[in-house]
Amino acid sequence: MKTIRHVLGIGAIAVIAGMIPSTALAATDTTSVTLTGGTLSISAAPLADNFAATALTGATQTLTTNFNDWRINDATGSGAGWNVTMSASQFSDGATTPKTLPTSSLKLKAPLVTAVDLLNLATAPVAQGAAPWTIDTGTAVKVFSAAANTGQGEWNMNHVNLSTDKDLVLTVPANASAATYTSTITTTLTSGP
Amino acid sequence: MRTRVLTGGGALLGAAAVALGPPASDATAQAPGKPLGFALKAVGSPSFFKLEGKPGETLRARVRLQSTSRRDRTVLLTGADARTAAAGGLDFGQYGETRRSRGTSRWLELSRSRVRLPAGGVVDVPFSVRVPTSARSGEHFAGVVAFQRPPQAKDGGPKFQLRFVSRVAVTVQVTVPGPRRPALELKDKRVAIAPTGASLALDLRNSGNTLIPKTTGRVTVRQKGRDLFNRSVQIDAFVPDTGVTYTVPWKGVPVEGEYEVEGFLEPQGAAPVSLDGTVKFGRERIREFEQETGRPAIEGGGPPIALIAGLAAAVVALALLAIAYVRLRRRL
Repeated sequence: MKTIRHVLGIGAIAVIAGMIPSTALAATDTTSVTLTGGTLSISAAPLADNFAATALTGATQTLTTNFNDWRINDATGSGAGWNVTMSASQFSDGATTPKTLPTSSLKLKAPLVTAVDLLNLATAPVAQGAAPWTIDTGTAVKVFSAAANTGQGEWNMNHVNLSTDKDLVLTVPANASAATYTSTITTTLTSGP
Repeated sequence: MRTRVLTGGGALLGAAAVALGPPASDATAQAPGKPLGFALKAVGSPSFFKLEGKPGETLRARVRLQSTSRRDRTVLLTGADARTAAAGGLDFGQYGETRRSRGTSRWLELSRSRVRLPAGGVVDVPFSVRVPTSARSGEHFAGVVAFQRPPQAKDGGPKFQLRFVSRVAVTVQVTVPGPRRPALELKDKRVAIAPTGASLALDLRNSGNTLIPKTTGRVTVRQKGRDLFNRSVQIDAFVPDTGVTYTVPWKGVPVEGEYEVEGFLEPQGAAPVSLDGTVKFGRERIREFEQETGRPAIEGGGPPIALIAGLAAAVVALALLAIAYVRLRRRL
């Protein structure tokens, strides 16, 4: 009887002992990883094709040109959000007494937003205001915004550029002067409220 | 890059330019542009600087420039006033803007305005914020902006190259202790005209001393009691002590006359603002509209005239039908 008890006792100890290592392993085998924040950056800068050289006709003309895709990459891991504004200077020939096109002549259509990484599950940044955006009013236009805890990862702003109706649109008034005009388009990626 | 050239001449040249244009397709795929090559970060903050300082105090902080490129580059840094962008949000002005700073950026002093950033490297740039003794209580906004000088035109020919400038900015919010007064004001409203069309322009000002995070509202424009259009309004962050002209696109072509405006704005944390009142679109603006947009505007009353003309035409048609009927009856 004693022998049976001993055997059972030893067996029970063995079973418990067999369990202990697995429990202990579960406790000590915890895998940890430290992720450090990266940067918030413009990973592909906005750019557009030239408007075609155009002859004045005495009537209002609408010119369109391709606007390239551009990208924002939020690798900060902070979920703090971000904003993008765009602003174009008034078209001017740069002379001392400059010839200019009126302000509010230049419009940009809103692009489609897609995650560069198809596995990115973050909520996409949102186009702001009423697109198309008039970008040469003298005041910047907030075009995209990622609220807190959205917009993480890399995002492609895809401009569709239909052949008959491209995404950057310039309205030239009937009374425009013949000249060569220039405008600078400033895009600013901001960390802020 | 984009060049805009207008030459005097006939429509023939224009037609030729169209004929020689790029081949038609439904959509033109455009490869993404090049990376900016650097990032800017607020050291010690997940997003932007939120500093507190009393009048006369000097605060210190650091921004971090981080290369995301395989080549060395020179990055320029500047302080910029924060204004309010067209539909809200912070606007740090345009590249090359010569407007003199009148705001909080005058409080900022960067230790360096030009940084040679090695490939893959990191450079911290300390800066100080000197709160003037005359600073009013409340929130003050500026930004540290990093950019590169844009490339010059490739040739000196008759065309100018359009320049694209991409920048990164970190907001600097300085809170001076004291009472907060959130307030939004409607300064004016009018019909605005641009080459892209007409709009109802609302001149708004954050006359308080705190950021208004969001403003929502609704506006209806009527003429002689008839609704012309009804739009919702949404404005993001509105910087204190700045103004913005918020434009509501006009539906169709404005007609000479007076319009009733009815609506409201609800700024978050501040008292609601009424938009009620009238705006005029006078005869002198019609010519301006036609010149700017190339579209005809309608003089004097518009829809009512069309209505009267329609009614008159219907009366004439009915009269003709009646005459024809009577004659037919007589013949029979």
